[in-house]
Amino acid sequence: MKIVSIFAEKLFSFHYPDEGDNELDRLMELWNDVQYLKKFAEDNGIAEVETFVNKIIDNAFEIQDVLEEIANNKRQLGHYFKPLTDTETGFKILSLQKGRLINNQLRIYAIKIDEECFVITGGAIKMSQTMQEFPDTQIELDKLKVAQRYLNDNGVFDIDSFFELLSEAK
Amino acid sequence: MTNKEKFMKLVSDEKTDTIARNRERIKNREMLRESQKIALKVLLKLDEMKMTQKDLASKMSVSPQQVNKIVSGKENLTIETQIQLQNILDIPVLASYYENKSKEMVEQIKIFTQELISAFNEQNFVSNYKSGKVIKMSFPQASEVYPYQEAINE
Repeated sequence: MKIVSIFAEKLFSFHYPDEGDNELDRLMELWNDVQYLKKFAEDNGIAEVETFVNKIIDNAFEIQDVLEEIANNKRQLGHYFKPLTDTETGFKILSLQKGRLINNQLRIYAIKIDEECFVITGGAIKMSQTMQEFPDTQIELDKLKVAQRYLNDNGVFDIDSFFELLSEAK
Repeated sequence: MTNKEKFMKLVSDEKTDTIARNRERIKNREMLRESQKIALKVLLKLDEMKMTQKDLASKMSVSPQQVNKIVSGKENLTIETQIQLQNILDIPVLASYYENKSKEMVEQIKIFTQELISAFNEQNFVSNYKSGKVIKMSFPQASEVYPYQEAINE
């Protein structure tokens, strides 16, 4: 398990041993992969495959724009997150405070190290209200816990439990 | 040692190019979007035709890996590749698809009209009409035979 720097000393990402890319790169590749998105739609019984694929690609473009904004240092990193509480787990999750991303179905999960430091643990296409209701987000929740344990074992304690880069409309 | 300092000790020295890759994606967005639209058309058409990517690769004389790249929607497709996809799968990729289709339609309408005229000019037209014989047409998109009565009433 490796942690790599994405942007300055502010945004980091886990790079898991069995993956070719760090989590952020892996997700951006996946969410731009038409073949993967079509199969995802079919596997999950989505009737309008074409509409779904196009929507996710547009959602991915929005995230690309946000990452670019973060890289340009326009605002403090904390600006891009807002707290949500997952009542099922009791964990606090942060989500992006940007109106244009309200309907975005893509999620990037992170752990907050301090006010201006986040480490990405993974991400998923959100298909259910709670993370436990859908296998992909359940896996992401498990990854968050493993990452937290890894940090704790190394004497690093996250400020506010878990965070989510992008949120649903709440 | 602060929390952040402890964290920084865990960070690998490895450099990432995530931000550069992201900028590249933004810069090439229009091209990528077109490529993704073509990829989806190809995948949906392959399903419709019950064709595998391997079949397509063989028809295009490229490797299955190349087809896999095309259907991922991340390739900057050459005009040559676009023409191949358009012709093999009969999907609209380039403007020429519609231009060719409209030319075909014009040709078919010409043939249809000529055949209709020649049918009307036949000497035994009246007897054909009365006996309910049919006019044969070579216009593939429409019915190939028309009763004389219907042709006249139209």
